[in-house]
Amino acid sequence: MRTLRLITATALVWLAVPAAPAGADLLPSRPITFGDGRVVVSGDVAISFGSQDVGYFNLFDYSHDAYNVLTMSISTEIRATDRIGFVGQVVDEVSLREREPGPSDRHVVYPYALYVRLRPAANQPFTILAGRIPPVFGAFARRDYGEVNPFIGLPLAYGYSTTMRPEPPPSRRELILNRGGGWAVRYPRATATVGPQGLPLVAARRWDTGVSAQWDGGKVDAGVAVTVGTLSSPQFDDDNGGKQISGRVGFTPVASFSIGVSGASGEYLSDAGESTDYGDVGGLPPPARYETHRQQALGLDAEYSLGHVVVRGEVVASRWDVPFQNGDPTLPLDALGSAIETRIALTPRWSMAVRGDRLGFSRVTAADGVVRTWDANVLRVEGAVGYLVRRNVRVKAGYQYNWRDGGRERSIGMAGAQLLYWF
Amino acid sequence: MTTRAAGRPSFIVAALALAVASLGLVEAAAPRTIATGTIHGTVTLPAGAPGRRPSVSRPGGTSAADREQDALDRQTSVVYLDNMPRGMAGESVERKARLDQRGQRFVPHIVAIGVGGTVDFPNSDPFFHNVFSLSDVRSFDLGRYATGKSKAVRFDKPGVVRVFCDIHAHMSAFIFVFAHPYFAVTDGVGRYRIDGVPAGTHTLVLWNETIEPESRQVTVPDGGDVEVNLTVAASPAPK
Repeated sequence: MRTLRLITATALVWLAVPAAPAGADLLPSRPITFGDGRVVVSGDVAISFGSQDVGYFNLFDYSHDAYNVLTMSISTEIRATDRIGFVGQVVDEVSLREREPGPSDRHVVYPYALYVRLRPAANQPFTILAGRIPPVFGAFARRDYGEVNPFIGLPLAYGYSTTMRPEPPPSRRELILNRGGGWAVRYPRATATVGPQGLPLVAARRWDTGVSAQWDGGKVDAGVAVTVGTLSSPQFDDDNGGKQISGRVGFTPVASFSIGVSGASGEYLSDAGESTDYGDVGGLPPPARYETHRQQALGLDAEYSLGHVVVRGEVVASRWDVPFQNGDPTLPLDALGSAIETRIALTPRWSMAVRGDRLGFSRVTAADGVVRTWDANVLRVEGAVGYLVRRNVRVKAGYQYNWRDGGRERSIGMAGAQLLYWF
Repeated sequence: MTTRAAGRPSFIVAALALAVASLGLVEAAAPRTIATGTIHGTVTLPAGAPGRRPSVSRPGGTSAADREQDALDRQTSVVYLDNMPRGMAGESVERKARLDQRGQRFVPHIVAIGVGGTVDFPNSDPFFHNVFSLSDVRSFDLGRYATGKSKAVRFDKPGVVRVFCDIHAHMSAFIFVFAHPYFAVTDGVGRYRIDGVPAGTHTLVLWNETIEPESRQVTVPDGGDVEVNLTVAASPAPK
């Protein structure tokens, strides 16, 4: 761990050195091209160092937390013809956490994007994507890149691990007892298909697999997708035979303002989670065994910008149909994530940003009559200052404070820095 | 008081007359024309392979027309004289330029102006753009502005200024600011022409964004033309 930190710290200092003359650049600042420009390769490196996240507020997919992670990605686009292209992005993530939820998750390499792009008509803004595709739901997941996201952390709706899993909890009582413990619940789990942490409302760092059709008409844009996973549990292989339908319509009445409405509905419970034996029962007891358990979500996103100021807001409402292993009736469990952020460019190099973020959960009544939210509500305030060393090298320093009305750590402040390089 | 007041204007008039007369003498003593010539030629670069970063999260991709224009932009070069003596600098330098934002690109890709000149940045696209530069010569950020609006920046130091759009990462352009008028931006087929170059031996510099600047000595005959074709054989390295 010490060696890894030394390497990343050295890289951080080296990359942050003020720009040398262009000819002396050791790293490319532009994508590398082959085949007369038909094959283009680009890359990103992001190193984040920060406080130890003992409350697991920033633990996103693959057990990595946004304040302590080294992420490297290579993107390739092959433009076979003007109408057909192949796009892929492979991400290599190394956790810099000192304590690991699971050793096997420390270093992961995964295909973030892998799809074929078809443009049926060269002069029409209509595109079909098939494969592991960018989500059409919401706004943040498509701009979850360090160069666009002014913060180190992700919005709660897109990264915070709730106690929800693609498998049934043992009972309502166990669910409530584990409020605020989304990173690792204490009850025996049916499978290990996802985890150890729970699902976010929308997984920004993993994309789903399927087909999407998108049309960008300037003032109005629209997209619809059919995928094998769900917003909270995207899949590479179908794990339940169900499909998710999602879509978004965006409207830009004036250049300074845009708004979008999204919706999604799909089966989120895995077959393994439903059929695993629980005690004396062979899989989920009826009638839950014969039900369809869906995640349904609605989203609203808006952006206003003028001059040196950009303001963005996003709301995600999610509902999961949750059965229980002990035969408790299936419950619709709701979550509402809302965030508003503003970014101000202070000078050509310096910028600052502030985000207010909240994640709330619906109430349920446990067998003993106690009424609580099914997971602990979370509130977060995050600020960041960015410095553009070069066009393709940015340094950020950030601080966030989290409050949670349950779980082991009720409140925690996090400070960190991030270095980004891309070409 | 009245006498002194009446006497002062006559003194000033006399002084001004002397100054004007002195200038006239100097003008008359100096040669009215400097022997000049023209440098012209063609810049030939290997066919570049333009490339925009793959837009993984945006479905559209880059069109063939955009790729063609990207290739043309990267072939555009600037040819100029280096180390021109101060007294030889002419006055006929262009001090106004326009860098349009159209079709998610800066048009043209390169402009050149004289020191003290101004570049206008109109937005001709139906969406927001932003223009900023981190250059030591002139650092600025014009913020985001909409269709039909234009902002201007004055450049008071010579050098190269690279500009970008904060919203569209693939957009970039170059502004060259010169302290003399002996420069030219190549046309669509690489041709350039620099007129009114003082006769003598000069250092001619070729600049292109895909290569290191190349320079060579050029002797301009009195009243004559000199053709200098500049060919770069090596494949341009991405920078």
